[in-house]
Amino acid sequence: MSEAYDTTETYEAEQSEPVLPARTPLQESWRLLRQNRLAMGGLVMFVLFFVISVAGVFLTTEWHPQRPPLMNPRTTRLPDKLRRPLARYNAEALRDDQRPLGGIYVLGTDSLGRDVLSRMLQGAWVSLTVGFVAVGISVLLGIVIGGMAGYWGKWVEMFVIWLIDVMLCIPRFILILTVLALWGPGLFRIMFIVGLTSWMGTARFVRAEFLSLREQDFVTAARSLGASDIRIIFRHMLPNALAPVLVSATIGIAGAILLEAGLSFLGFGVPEPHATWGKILDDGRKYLFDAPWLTFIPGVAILIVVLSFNLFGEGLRDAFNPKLREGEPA
Amino acid sequence: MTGFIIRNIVQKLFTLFVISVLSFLILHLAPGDPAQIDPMNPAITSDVVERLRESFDLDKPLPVQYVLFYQRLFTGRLTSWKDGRPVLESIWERFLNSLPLFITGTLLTWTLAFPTGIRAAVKRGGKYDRTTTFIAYFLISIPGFFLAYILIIVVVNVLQVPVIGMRTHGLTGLPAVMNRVWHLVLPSVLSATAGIAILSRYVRSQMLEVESQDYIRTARAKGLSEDVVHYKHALRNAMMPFVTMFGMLLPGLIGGSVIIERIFAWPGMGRLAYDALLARDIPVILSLNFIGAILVVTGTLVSDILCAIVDPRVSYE
Repeated sequence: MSEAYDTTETYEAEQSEPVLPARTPLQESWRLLRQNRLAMGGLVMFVLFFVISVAGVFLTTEWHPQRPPLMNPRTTRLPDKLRRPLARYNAEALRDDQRPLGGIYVLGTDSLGRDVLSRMLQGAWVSLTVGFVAVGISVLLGIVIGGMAGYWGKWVEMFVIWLIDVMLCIPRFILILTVLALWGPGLFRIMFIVGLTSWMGTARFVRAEFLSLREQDFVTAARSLGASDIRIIFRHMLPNALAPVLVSATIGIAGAILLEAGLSFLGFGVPEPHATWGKILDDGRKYLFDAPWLTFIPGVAILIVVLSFNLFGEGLRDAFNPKLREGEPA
Repeated sequence: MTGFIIRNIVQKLFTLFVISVLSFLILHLAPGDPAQIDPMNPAITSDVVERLRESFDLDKPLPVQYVLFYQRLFTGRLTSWKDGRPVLESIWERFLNSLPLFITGTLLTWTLAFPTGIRAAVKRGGKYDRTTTFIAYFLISIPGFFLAYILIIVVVNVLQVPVIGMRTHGLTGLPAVMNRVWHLVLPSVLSATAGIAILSRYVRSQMLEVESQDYIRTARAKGLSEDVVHYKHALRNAMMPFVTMFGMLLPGLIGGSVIIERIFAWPGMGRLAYDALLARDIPVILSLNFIGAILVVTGTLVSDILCAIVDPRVSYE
């Protein structure tokens, strides 16, 4: 009796169509993300920041020697120094080529009469590229190093764990400052040194994910079909380990932007005359009580950008969290 | 247990050795001759360069240079290029200045972060939780130097107290004490803000993690009051990871304070590092890098030992 029952059960299971979930995991994550208002706010701010930085590059770069940029962040106007935001420009004291766009200083001017708006636009691109390139480097390193450790195990893994321990024992901020002081400051150096000193978190995540993934059946299947190690790592395992990496990368960008601002503030950032947000803030230090906008404009800008990346990253973390998905027990 | 500690110490010493080599190499990987680090400076004449070369034994092979450098550092004979004072002496002096700032900051962090995080976890999803979450993100995201200037503007305008430096000279008695306290308040609050935000988030998630365990459900099921469940059953187990975090505090002494000490002209270790970096005072820079690493390694050692003592699941073998 019981045997007959069992066979029908199996038979029915074989006959019935495989039930697809109503949504793919990606759609489900997007649905969760959309419900999170803070995270969506962060995403919107991020897109806005991206558009502004790209626009800033076009507006402030000198594309042609004869044609000055639309908004020149280098133009100094001593008669118009430390003007308030929205102040009109002084047409009598200045030449025509010193006229700011629209004849108005939307965000005021600094101690040399340079237009703060155009300097902020120029600095936005620095923040954006430092954030993305530095985190790109660290994520790449983290995936490769952590992936090797998790995939091959044995002495590779032991070495990587030891290397991570050593890296975590080096005081990061002092090390970065030391390298920049000895080599001299520069945009690419900052990106590289920040990237090279921040891959450890990603490597840990990837290693942990790979440790469990390499025991899974689909990896065994791929291996038995003769796939190479590289193909298994990048084609089969990595896509399954990417969610935590993406989350830590988003939050890492926030950290890198904050770090770059701190380095600029200390005078170890991108060299003059290129403007960065940290440097504008540092320049405003001496005029804190007379020209507070020089402190508040870059400060608030950094705060908003970093906050939006942090909120978006946390939203992503929740969206990728399987415990919060629909239909699964919490 | 003793074997565990000894093995751990040997491991850490090896790590420290590797870091000492790495930080020594940074100097030699940098482009150019370390003695020519500031060729445009008219004060550096050829015999000064000669002296610098000699003080770093640049004519000897690299491994010999390495041994001699650390020998000088540990015997206290290493002197600063800038003022000729023994490096260990000035670092010790600055360390004592940084200490009150560090202790106040740490006390603030721990006393504020725990109640905030625990309450947020207990009232999960409520108004308090959402408010503190947003404030925490706000504090994590705000650049420390920007917050510092906002606070300076507010405190100086509203309270009319001096905030820059360590003390105002020429005061005696009670006013002198109050003066020291006022100078201490802002920098220590600032060095604590990010820590409070991060730690309270961590406490919250740790509490939530523990609250989802089966034994919490059992405690509720047998009819214990919510307070007992939260503060006796959950909290004690949630505390475990934080005992080990005591060890991780030490490194904050140097790295975390560079920006704050610069803004407030506080003559501590971070300020020493900043001045040495600007002056390219290589003996001081290298020593601070290495001492920073010693602090981190000591911190992790303390954490490991505390962890082994507190958590019975950690085996010593």
